[in-house]
Amino acid sequence: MTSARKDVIRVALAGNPNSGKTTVFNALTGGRRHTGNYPGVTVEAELGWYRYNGTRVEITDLPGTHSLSARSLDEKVARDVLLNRNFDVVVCIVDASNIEHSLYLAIQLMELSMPMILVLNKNDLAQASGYAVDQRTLSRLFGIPVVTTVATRNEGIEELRQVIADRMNHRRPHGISYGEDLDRAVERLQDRIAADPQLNKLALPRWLALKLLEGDQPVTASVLQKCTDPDSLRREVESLRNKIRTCFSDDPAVVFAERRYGVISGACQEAVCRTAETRHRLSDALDTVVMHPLLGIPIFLVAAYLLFKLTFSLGQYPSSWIEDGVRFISGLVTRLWPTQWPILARSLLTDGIISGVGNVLVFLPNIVFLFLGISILEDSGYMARAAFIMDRLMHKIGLHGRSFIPLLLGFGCSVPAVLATRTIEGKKERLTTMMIIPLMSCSARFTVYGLIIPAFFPPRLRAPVLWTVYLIGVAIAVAGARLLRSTLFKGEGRAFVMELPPYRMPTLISLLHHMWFRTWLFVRKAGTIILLMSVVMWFLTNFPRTGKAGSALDRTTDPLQGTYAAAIGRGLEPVLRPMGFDWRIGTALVGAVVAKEVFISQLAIIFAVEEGESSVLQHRLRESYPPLVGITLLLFILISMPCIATVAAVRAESGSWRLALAQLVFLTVIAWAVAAAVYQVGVLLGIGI
Amino acid sequence: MTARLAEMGVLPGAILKVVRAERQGPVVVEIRGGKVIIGHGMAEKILVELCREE
Repeated sequence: MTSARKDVIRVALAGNPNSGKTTVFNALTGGRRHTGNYPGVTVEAELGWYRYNGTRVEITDLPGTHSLSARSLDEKVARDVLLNRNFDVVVCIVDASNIEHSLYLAIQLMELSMPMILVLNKNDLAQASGYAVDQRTLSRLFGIPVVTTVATRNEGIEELRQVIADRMNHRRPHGISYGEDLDRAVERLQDRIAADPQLNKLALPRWLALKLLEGDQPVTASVLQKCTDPDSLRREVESLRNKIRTCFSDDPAVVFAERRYGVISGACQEAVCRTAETRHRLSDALDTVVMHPLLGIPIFLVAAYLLFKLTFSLGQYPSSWIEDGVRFISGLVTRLWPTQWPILARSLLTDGIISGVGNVLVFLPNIVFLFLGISILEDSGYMARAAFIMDRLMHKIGLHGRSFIPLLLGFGCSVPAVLATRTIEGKKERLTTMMIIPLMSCSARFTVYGLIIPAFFPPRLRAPVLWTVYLIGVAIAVAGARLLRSTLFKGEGRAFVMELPPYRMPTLISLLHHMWFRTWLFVRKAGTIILLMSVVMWFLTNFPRTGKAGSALDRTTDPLQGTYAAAIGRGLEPVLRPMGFDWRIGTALVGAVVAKEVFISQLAIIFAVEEGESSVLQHRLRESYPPLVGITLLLFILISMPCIATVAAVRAESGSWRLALAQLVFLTVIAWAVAAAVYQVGVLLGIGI
Repeated sequence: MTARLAEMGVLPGAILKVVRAERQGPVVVEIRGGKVIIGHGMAEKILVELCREE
């Protein structure tokens, strides 16, 4: 025990998505957490810490997964983090009320042969459902400590802290046996790997051997790359895999999964005692209604409607406070600015930085409430039902039920939606989903519609027009997904397999936790880029200085005249003409690249209207353009280029600049084609001009 | 893709209960004390035989 005196213990927290992992994390750390990157991989992670008897315990919260097979990005992240960093102990949260399913991850963690502690959470539910799990027997069978908790009531948390703090408890689990034939194959490969010094460094040889035999793609690729003699290793792996295939007449991956469940069944037979069969009655009753073939969809639509209602109606108050606040601060800076200081710096601060920050902050309340709503749907177990209900529809466009949740998020903001694609299995489905997300009209676009629609349409037409715009977005997304799945991302659809957890009451702390984490992701990803681009836009709209003194605030008629932005707008005019746009709209569209809502403020500057006086701006728009341009403008804003933040998110999540830029170019081209076609047909038929 | 099913515990020889199955759309089965949603196409390829209700 050389490390016994070291007073930091590093813990990795693993568990199924529905195991109550977040609740355990919160209970352990008591809220002392921060968000950072997982060591070794640039994916956001939740890190927390606490002190126990002078020992500092640092916890890394891994993504909630059902397995470590690296079939979805979340699984890959969890696995890479475990392999890249030496944790002192892995704490695996198991849902005691669904023990056979949730032990699967635990078994896979044991295969990594890291010191481990098993936590049987939700013990109250298990007991209510008529299960009694004997933790001592489980502990003896697996060779690791087992702690029983009810994290929602803080039961067992103190004991867990105690077990984690004592290094005597950091024991490696017993090896898992897959039966004589498989064990022999594993050992043979293991010896070979252990003999190769390069591979030895990669990971535990036994684990590598196992993954090679299972046919795990990422592991096989990296092993063959590092290996000194890849060809002979590949041959040996293939011959062993073939042997397993003929022996068991099944795919080796299935055979190993079968053995793992065999180990689990064995353990459960000894350690789990069934007292009564009264399980999830309420849950089943709810499901007969919620998942009903006819009632399911209307119920879902109501849930989605409530979600957006919550987002927009609750969010609008704090949004307007923030707007007022930003304007107040901006005004304050302008008033207090010493006259001897350069006026250009003031303009940069107020028009560039403060309004840029304001642009981000104004959206924050909407985003926070949206994420709160999504967390409620997720934590309660409804999201899995929504995926179930929507699978039938999603199937028709070559995607499956899981893609639905990110697309739904897309109506709020594309950035978190793109991040939410991580749970989708199958790269092709994931990328297809990512590509069509910007067509889900986001809340920033909504603000633009809110300006344009009342400007051009009488009140009775406004709601139908808004609906039509949303539906057109969805229709193009559907067509796009079908097209992508039959061309660029062609291939057999991954089967849709997903756990259906019983309903449960979400805990407040875990809701806030999820909400906060997602919001933070948004602020970091989108905020920094929007801020940066706001400064760039400020530059474009203020330079070159044409000798006119003062900033955009002191403008008379058209302060953008002669600036780079106007030059770009004018330069684009020939391209914009077919859609009925002039250079003024072109200049504002340059701003929309940053964030869609910037379109409004740019337009306000060009038409020399004070920001916030949208009715004046609407009046000016009505005077300047025919209604047809209103329609083409709506279409163009809907379809064209995703904002910079989305491009950055797609780049980060797909790992490819080419895809991110291709998406931007294609969507813009489609937008142009649709808007131009509508305008030309409109002009030809004399409608709306 | 049988591997993914296998990981959810849907394995040869396992006893499962079909909770919900329509003519289209995914199927819900109860297996090993938990519920799993399986896409229609996949579910169609799973061969089952009736066993006596316990």
